[in-house]
Amino acid sequence: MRNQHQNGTNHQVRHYQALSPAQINRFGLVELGSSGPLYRFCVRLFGILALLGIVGFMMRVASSGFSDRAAWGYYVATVVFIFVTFQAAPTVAFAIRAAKGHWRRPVSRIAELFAVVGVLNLILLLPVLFLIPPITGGRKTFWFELHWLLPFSAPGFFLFFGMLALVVCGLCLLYLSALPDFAAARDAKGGIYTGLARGWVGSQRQWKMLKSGLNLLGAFYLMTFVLVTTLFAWDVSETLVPGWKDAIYPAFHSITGLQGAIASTILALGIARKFGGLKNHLHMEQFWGLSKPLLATSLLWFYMGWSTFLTYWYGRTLAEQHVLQLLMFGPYFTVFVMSFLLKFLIPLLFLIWNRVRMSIMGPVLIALSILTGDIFEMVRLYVGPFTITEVGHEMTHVPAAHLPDFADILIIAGAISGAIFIYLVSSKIIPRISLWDMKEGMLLTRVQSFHRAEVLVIGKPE
Amino acid sequence: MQDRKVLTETQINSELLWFVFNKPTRFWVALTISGLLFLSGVTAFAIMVIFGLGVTGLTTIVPWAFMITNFVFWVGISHAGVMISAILRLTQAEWRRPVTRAAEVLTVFALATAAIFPLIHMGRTWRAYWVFPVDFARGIWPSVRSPLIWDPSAIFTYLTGSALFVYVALIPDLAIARDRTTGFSHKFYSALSLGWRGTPAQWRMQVLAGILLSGLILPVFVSVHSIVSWDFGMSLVPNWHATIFAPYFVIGAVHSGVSGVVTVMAGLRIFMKLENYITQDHFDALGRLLTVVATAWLYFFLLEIVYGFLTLETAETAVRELQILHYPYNIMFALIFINSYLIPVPLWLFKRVRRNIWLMFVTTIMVNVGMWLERFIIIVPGLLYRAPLTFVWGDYTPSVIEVTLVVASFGLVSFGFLLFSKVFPIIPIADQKEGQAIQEDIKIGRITVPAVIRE
Amino acid sequence: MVDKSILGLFKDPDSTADAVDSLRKAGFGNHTFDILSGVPYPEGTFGEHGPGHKLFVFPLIGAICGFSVALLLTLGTQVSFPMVQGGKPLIAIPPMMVIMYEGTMLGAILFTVLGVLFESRLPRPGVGLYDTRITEGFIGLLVSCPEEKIGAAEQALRGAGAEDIKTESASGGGR
Repeated sequence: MRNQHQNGTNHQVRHYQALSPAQINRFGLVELGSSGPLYRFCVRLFGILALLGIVGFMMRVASSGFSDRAAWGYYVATVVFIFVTFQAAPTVAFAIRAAKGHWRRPVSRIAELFAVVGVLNLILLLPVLFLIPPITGGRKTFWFELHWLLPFSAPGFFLFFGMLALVVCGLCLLYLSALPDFAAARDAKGGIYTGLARGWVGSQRQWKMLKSGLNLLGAFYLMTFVLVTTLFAWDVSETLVPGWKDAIYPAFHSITGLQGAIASTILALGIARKFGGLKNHLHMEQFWGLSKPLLATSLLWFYMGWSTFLTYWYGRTLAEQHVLQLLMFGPYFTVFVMSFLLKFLIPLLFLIWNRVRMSIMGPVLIALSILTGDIFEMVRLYVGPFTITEVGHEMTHVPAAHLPDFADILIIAGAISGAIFIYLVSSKIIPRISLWDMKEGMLLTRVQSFHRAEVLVIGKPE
Repeated sequence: MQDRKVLTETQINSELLWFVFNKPTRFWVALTISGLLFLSGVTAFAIMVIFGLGVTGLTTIVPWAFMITNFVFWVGISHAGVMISAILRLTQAEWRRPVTRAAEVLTVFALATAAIFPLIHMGRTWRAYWVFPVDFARGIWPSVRSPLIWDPSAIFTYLTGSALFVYVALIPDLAIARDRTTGFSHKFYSALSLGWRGTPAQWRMQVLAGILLSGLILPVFVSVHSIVSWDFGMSLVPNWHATIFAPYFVIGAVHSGVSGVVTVMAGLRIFMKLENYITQDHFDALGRLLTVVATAWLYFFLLEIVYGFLTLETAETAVRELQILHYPYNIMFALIFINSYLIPVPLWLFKRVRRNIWLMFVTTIMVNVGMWLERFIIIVPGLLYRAPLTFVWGDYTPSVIEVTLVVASFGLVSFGFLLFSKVFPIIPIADQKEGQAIQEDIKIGRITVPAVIRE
Repeated sequence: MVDKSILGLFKDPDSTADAVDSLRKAGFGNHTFDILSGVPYPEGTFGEHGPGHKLFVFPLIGAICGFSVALLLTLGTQVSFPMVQGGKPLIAIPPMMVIMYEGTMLGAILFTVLGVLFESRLPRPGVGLYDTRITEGFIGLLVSCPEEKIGAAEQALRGAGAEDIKTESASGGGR
């Protein structure tokens, strides 16, 4: 940490560490390819759990095949959970970059790295495509079928195509963001980085393209994420439930995703700080900065859910009452309460206090609460609808709750572990802190005296 | 911000108080025109009171039309003001400084104007107090189950909050005016400035008040337009009974409101010659914000339409057909999309357009024409279709009285805004000075990067 | 004993900060002087100590009051006028929540404004010893102390380069 200011003033700037480009490089590059015992233990643990997940998947196929849709509810819920949490995280990198906050620099890469999880989720999505029933089976949807082209229903095709676009966009975003760092690694280590750096020399033209590219790809990622969330809402969930006509649902799902994105990023930051050696890079400012949008998205999540509830509660048609029973007050009531508590009430009651927001442990624990709530939320939104067999304009009865079996538990644990495994492995290839971003930050900030106070001066070049 | 001008405190005081302490002819001309427009509305209202609601185009089938459209429109406009101000304060955006007050004042006058319309629309305006639980003698209480009862509580909260938000931030500027006046004006500004002296504790409270009130007013702002939307959404009228109405109304309000703020800022810059304060950078930043807001609005707009067709219900489909295919609604529908997105957003993608004050002025007015029509298209066609019991197709044509009332509402908002800017500085003086005090530069090689001081 | 006030006017923050140092050296405590400025300078600019405050308690109290009043109103009106509407229960909680939310927020906003005024010690009758040049860019350093220490205060202010010095009884008003 920087020493006390010479003037002996009573107002000090917190957590500012002046580092030279060489110091930043040294720290960021030394960990590439090397690992400690805790890291190795975690990689092995999550790797084994991921393998168990594959065993669970085989058990599911063997016991239920693809014809029993209800048996796959937890599988689908897990796929969507990974989508609205880990895979959503790169949107945070874009949002904070667009907001031009100085504190965001050590956060961006940690959020962008989650893009690699998309590759796993794309593979996990494939069985889901065969689980979505065809439109000709009486589903109410505005899509059309493409039997002559596709082995599965047309909406599934759009979903897969959207997801593919998202994954490709995420990987491009991550690669572009890491390009100057790959060049730094090339100059220090050589090896695979020579190929990855693709001749990056840091010309003015390259920097200009890099910045424009990051903004564009970030915007595309956000828009594609919203689109795919909308498709999940339509095809995988809503159209399975007769009478669930909820125009806000895609937007509600997107907000769930943005909340999950921030929570995933905060949790990753907390773990990286505590166990990953980033104590000198990640300070209260980063957690404080992210806890504000976390509170905002928690409020928005409630707001949109409330809008649905109130409209249905006032409408009181049979279809609306059954949908409320299915999703809130019927067989999944406990799941709904847990989701409400963990995703809204606990975040609200704690995050309204600046003291909690201005801490490290506070936002991390709330992020954990939200991510746990997301598991319940996806069970509520996907397991129930997957048990519906009726088609038509409205449900006539609400099926009983579908509980997870051993295969489901293996699948849930395995898929989430697989996502963490991929993230951990990638973090040894791609620097977890954006080195060029940090260097730029050093150029544009300085601590100086302002009469008797010590202040931080932040340059705003654009 | 790149357009940095270094001004002395004396210069800032004199330039920003010039309009308050002088009597330019253009002010009186503008005030007279807006006052006459407002008076035309008063006359129309008087005619309505004397002859009853029959002088309007309203029928038993279409009881909500022009006046309620106008109510929703002005509530929408009122949203951007405080939202822009609150969000920019919370995110410490430096470019907010000249924008906040005008935006907040627009909120107050737009909201007050909006609140008048349901009262006029009641027909028996003198019974408006029935919405409050005050009439102990009758023993009949307002039903909280009716969304129409939620409206007054929300609007009262928002109007009170916005007015206090404006006032608290105005106190240091009132002290500046107090120090430069004598006689009655001095007494007036002294009373309103409450003895402000500018101690560190007072300044600290100003900063905290900005943050705290912003944080409190943002959720209120969301609730107000949501509640307005629930006036419609809680019913079973086809096209109205949609879960998306609340956020759809809010994002529409933000779209029209931010556009309204840009229109006002452009007007202020031209009318009050505030080029030193309202710069092209502000329009650039607001144009970027508008692009994002407009795209979010489009997402909700499309969701609303898609869901209208999703389950192919007869009544819902019929209303959608009416909105999209039948004259004159099809023209309005097209205009909404063209005016509020198709023309302005591609234009705003170009920096040259965002920095052109006249183009921003015109495109934001276009947006609000589109947004007014959007509210009309939501409200009226839904009522025209009365399938289950009446089997009647309704019709609606606005009367001269209703058109006059709508036009007069623009006069009222302008009148209020002009009067405010004659009595109080419309650009926050102390905020402007603070912006200069924390302005710094960082030299990197041959360039100087504008910088700000953060504590 | 009646305190007297003395106001030193400075052209720039540096000389004001010097004057604050001189006052401290001369034995004046932090509570005996205050800085008056036309601009909110960053905290600590003059080497002053930021006073504590309890502003955040105000919105909490306001929110509780607003919530309680709204709860009473919504519950009371439904109980007093029991009429079934639209198949909804006689005490319908979802619509009550809408009005309770507005009441809570209104209470919180009103009490926040009250809190801001209270913590700013406003309104106050008159401005006390003051100079209108403060809103033109000058910085005032206002010292309130027993009469016998006024001389020492004036010396400290002058020594730091005060442009002008005004004195008056602290209990009196004036501009």
